[in-house]
This record gives sequence, C-alpha cells and structure tokens, in this order.
Amino acid sequence: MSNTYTDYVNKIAITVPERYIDVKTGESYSVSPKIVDQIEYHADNSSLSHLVLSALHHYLNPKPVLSGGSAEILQQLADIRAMLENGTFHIQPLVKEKTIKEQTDAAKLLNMKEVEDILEAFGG
Amino acid sequence: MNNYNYFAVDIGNSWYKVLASDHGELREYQMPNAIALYDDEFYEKPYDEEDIDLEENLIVEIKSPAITNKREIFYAGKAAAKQRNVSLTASNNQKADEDRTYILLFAAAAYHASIINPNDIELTYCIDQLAVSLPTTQYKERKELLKQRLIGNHTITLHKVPGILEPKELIVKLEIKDVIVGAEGACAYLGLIRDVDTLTIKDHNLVKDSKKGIIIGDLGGDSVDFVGIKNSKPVASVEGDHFGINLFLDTIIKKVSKNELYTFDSRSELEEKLFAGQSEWYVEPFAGVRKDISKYVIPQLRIMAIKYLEHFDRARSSSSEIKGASRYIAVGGAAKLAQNQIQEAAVRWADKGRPIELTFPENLEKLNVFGLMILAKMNQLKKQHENTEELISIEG
Repeated sequence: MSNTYTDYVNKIAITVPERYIDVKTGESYSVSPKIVDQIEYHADNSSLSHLVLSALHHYLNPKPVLSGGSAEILQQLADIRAMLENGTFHIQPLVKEKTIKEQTDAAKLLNMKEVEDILEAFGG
Repeated sequence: MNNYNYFAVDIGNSWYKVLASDHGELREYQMPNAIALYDDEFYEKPYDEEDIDLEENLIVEIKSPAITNKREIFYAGKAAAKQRNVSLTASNNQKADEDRTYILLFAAAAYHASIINPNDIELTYCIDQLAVSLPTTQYKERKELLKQRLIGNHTITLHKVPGILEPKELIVKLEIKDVIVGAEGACAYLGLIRDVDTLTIKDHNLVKDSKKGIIIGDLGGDSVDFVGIKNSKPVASVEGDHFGINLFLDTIIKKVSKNELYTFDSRSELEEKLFAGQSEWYVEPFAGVRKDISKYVIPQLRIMAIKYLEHFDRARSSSSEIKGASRYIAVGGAAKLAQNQIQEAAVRWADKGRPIELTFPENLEKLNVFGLMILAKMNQLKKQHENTEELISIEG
C-alpha cells in the first residue's frame, strides 16, 4: 500500500510506497516508520519541501572519505553487486520444496469448516 | 497436501495462465488463447531444429470425449499465433462449449508434462486436482458441463516435436481425477488474501476491509467482471458490457498496419510488446527502420481506462450490498497495462466529485490463477478429509 502526503500550501505531494529503490546502489529498502513520521509531520507543517531538500542535500553531497581506501572499495563492491543484480535479471521458476512438517502444519492451521465454506463460496 | 499434482488454469480471452504444482514444485506458464488448423503441406521445416522451442512449435492432436472433432490437428498457443489462419477468441464466446477451450487446456497440460519428463516420448500424467475459471455470467450454468468434460482420460499427441527422432511424436496420456471451477474475479480475492503454499491468510488488513465491502474489477481480454466481497465472501457480481482490451488491441493493430506498413501476427505479439514497457513500443517494418507506435497505443489505453472507470462507477452504484465498499481493487492483465492511464483518468473522476481510488496489487495479472491453485489444494484437502472420515465411520 502506498500513501500520499500533501503539503497543500506549497503544492507539494509525495507518494510513499512500501519499498523504495536507493537510486545510488539500486537496492530496494522498506520505508521506515521514522521516515513516514517525519514526512507526515512536515506535510502537516507545510514544510515538506524543506524536509525533501535537506534530505537530498545530505544524500547528494559527497561525504568526506572516512577511512581512506576501504570505504571506496566497499562502494565499488556495492556498485558491482548492483550491476550484477540488474544485468542478469531473469525469472526463475518458483521451485519450493516443502518439508513434511510444514505440510502437516498447513493442514492443522486450516479448519475443515473454513475450507468447506470457502469452497462453497468460491468454487463448485 | 503437497503429495499431489495440482493444475490451475485461468482461461483468459487473451492468455491462458497456468500454474502447475507437482509434489510441491511450482511452475508457471502462459500461452496465448490462439489456435490454428494444421496443414502438413504448409509446414515449414525449421532451418535449425535446435533453435526451435516446443512452445513455438506446439502441434497437437487430441483424442478425448470432450472434443467433437477428433481427427483435426491444431497449432496451439504461441505456435498458432504465428499462423496466417489463426483463430482468436470472439466476443461473447462460451468457454465451456467450445472445442478450443479443451484443445488449449489439454495442450498446456501435455506441454507441462513433457517439460517435467524431458526424456520420455510416451508418458502418463495424472492431475489429482484441476482448477479452472469461468466468467461470472457463464459460471453458474456451465460449470457442471465443464467439469464433466474435463474429468477422465485424454490422449494428447504432440507432433513435430523438436529434438525428438522420427516420427517426431510425443504421446501424453492425461488423467484428470477431479475438477473444481472458480469464478473469475472472485478467485483473485483468494489469491490476494491467502498464501498459495500454506493456504493461510497473509493479508489480514484486506480481510478486515472486506467487512465493509470490497469491489474487485477484473479487466480481461473480452470481458470485465466486477465482484463484490463482503465478510470474505462474494456477495454480488456485475457483468459489464462485453468490454476488454482485445477491442483496443485490434484498433492499434489496424492503425499500425495502415500507417506504418507493419502487421502484427496476433494480439499476443502486440500485447507482449506493450507489457515489455514503453521503450519497446516501436515496430520495424523494414530492417533498420524503427517506427514509434506509442502515438497509437496511448490514446487507445486512455479510452479503455475511461471506460473501465465508467464500468466501475456503474458497478458500485448498481448493487446495494456493496455500495459502501471501502476498497476498490483492479486486477487482470489489461488493468496492469493501462495502470498509468487508469490513474490519470481517476484524477478526473475525483474532480467530478465521484472519486474512484483504485488499488493495484502486486501480481495483479496472476491473482486469478493463484486463487485457482488455492481452490485446487483446498478441494483436495476436503476430499482427503472425507476419505478419512469414511474410514473412521467404517471402523466405528
């Protein structure tokens, strides 16, 4: 479920999806409740643009390199990983082996009455 | 539950969507709803057989009580879509009555059987539980007929199978033990709320929302089905006019053929292009000449989106039971294709004061077939349960 927050005063709206893609690395993350809280606060406070711009400022301005070489290597590894993940994308057939334990659990979790009700309502 | 073979087929007017589960191993296929009569004289031998996929060379002959004309040989699916004499669905077609339904369904099953048994040229494949869908209008009156014709034994011969020695034939003896029929649209709700492996509820929020009411609008090839769900049960179904994406695909094909000198082999060729995203929306009438077709595509998708919302509005005001619905959900491949246009059109509806805020769930084009797989597994559970109860009562 995505949610739209609007700052009507400054005509800014932002739709927050469940997951977002880090545009630098290509990896996807879920949106943390803290971010959502902040967006909600600033939308109500008509300061959504300031929040977005300050976040962009922090994100886009190069940070000072902390520990010389290793940070750069880590960044490059992350880049290579992102490229590999994006470059060889193909749909795998969904292969799932289930253990016998899980099967019996599934049967236990479902109430027979519930199953019959669903079959009657949805199938025939 | 996973010791059985399940087969779920969403009999769509543009695509057959298939989900097969063999002892817990799940596979997904889709095949265009297209058949063409096979003519030996016009069979073009592939230049390099190694490059040919069985899927693109699916030539089937079916011996089954479900089929009237047992002698004909057909191209099915992708193979048929490439033929000049391809037959696509007509609007208002009756799925349970037509040979094409059985030809394509059995062809899909034989194709699947051959994929999981790659080395055999004569094989038997048993489906313990088959789940198929019908549109809401055909569901009540036709489901028994469909069931009867599907249950039993059928023999499918695949001809000219690439990679197999002369006479290049592969025979699949198919046994279908039990069939359950589900209604299109309603099945999508099952696919949304339940996990296809464990069958347990995965979306509790939606179940909660269904107390107030949910409307699902399933936009397909030739039909749009609306299903009202209340307290997790289908309470109302409204069939719109015969309306779906095929009409708009045909218009696009006509316009492209007239203005750009390129003719699509079939609707499915165009549809695949559209699904691949806007960067693929061009044709190559001559080598090296690229023609942008988005100017034909986008206006058609816009018209479809507006009509879809009109149908939605009519559906929600026509049934008292779902008038106060809290959620509207778009499903079906065509809804996915026109998602942007539908959302654009929704803004205009909101301006008019009749907002239609649609949810576009993940995998919205596959929800029906997931729902069917859930039904198949549940039907098997019920059957097993009945059998054990019988045993107990005999012992007692």
